[in-house]
Amino acid sequence: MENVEIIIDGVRKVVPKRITILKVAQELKIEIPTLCYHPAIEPYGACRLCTVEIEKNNRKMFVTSCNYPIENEIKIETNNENVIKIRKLILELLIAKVGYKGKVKEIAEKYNVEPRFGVGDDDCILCGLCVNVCKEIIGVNAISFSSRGINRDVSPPFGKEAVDCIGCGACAFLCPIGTIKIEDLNEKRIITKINANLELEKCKICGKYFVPKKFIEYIKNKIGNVELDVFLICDECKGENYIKRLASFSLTGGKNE
Amino acid sequence: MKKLEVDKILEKNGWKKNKIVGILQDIQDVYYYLPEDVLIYISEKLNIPLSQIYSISTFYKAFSLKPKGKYRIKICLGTACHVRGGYIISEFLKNKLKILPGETTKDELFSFETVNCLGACAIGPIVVINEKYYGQMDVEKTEKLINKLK
Ligand code: SF4
Ligand code: FES
Ligand code: FES
Repeated sequence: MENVEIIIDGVRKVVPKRITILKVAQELKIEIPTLCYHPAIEPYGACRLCTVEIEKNNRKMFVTSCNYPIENEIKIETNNENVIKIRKLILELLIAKVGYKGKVKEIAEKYNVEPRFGVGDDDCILCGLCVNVCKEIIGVNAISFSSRGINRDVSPPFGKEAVDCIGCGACAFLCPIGTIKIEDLNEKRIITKINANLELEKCKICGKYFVPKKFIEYIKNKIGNVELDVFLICDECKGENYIKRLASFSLTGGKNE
Repeated sequence: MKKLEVDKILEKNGWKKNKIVGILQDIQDVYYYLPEDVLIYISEKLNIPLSQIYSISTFYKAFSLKPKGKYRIKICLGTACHVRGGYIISEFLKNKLKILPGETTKDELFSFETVNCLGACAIGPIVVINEKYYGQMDVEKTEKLINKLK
C-alpha cells in the first residue's frame, strides 16, 4: 500500500494513503469530537463537529476529519484556536436546535459552550446514524430522512408506522441524544420516534417476552434452515445456562452442587 | 389505484430502480399527487424500500403526497413576479381559499402552491391554473378567474 507523510499537531507521521484524518487521530489518541460517526458505518459528514484545519499546497482550509481521506502530504491541526471556535459554533447551533441532550450535552460541557442562540427542544440532530445503521448494517431500511431544509426529519414511511422495522433496536442503541427508545410492554415492543410496533416472542426457558417475532423471521430468511432455538432464549437464561454448564464441567474438583 | 396505469408507467421506465424519480414524476402527472397505495405498489414491484421512496417523495417540492384540487393554482414568487405583486396575490388566495400553499380546499376544488420563477418573467406576475398561464395578474383579475371556476 502506498504511504504518505503528514504532520499532525506538529508530529511527523507516515500513514497509508486514503486513510481518514479521524482514524489517524484516533490511532494517535488525539481526541476529536464526533456525533454522526460510527466505525461500522460509512462516514456521513452530517454533524461537522469533527472539523479540523489542514494545510495543503500552502492553503489552509477546514475539513471534516471523519470523511477526509488523506491523499497527499498535508499538515493537520486538530485542536487549534480556529478549530475550537468552529466546534463551539456548531455546538451552539445544536443546542439551539435540541438543547442539552445526551452526547451533545456531554461535548458542549467539555467545550464550555454557552447557549448563545437559545436552547431548543427538537428531538433530532439529523446525524443519520439511525437511518444509516438500518440501511447499511441491518439492511432493512425501515426509516429514512424526510423533507428537507428546516423540515428535515427522521421518520417512518408517510410519517405513520415503521412497517418494515424488525425491532432490532440498533437505531435506539446509536442515537446520540437518546431520542429513539425501546419500550417493551409484555408482548409488545414499541420503538419511539420511528414509530415501530412489534409483537414479541417468549423465551423458551423462562417464558418472558423478549425478542420481536419479525426479528426471528428476518434471521431465518437470512441464514436459512439453521436451528433457531438459541435465538429464542433470553440473555439472562443464556447466561444462567452457561454458568450451569460451566459448573458441571467444573475443573475445580467438583466442589459445586 | 389502477394497476394497469401504474404498470404502464413502470413499463415505460423499463422497470428500473434508478428511474425512480422519473417514475414518480409520471405518477404525479397522472394523479397530480403521489397516492400512498401507488407508492407501496411501486416499492414492492421494483424492490425499493418504502422508506426511500417516501424520502424522495418528500424531498422534491414538485411532488405532493396530498391530493390536489380540480383546479391546481400556481403562483410565481420568483424575484421578478414577487416584486411586481405575486406575493400580494398569494396572500389574497390564502384568505380567499382559506388554505395555505400546498393545501387543498375541503371541496377538493382548489389547491395552490407557490413556485420560484417559471421562466416567463417578462409577463409577470404569473398565475398558472392547470398548466394554463395567466400573465400580468393582479388581485382583481385573480379573483375574477377564481369566481368563474367556482
Ligand atoms: S433520531 Fe437520533 S440517531 Fe436518528 S438522526 Fe436523529 S439524532 Fe441521529
Ligand atoms: S463526525 Fe464527522 S461530520 Fe459528524
Ligand atoms: S419570476 Fe415569475 S416567471 Fe420568473
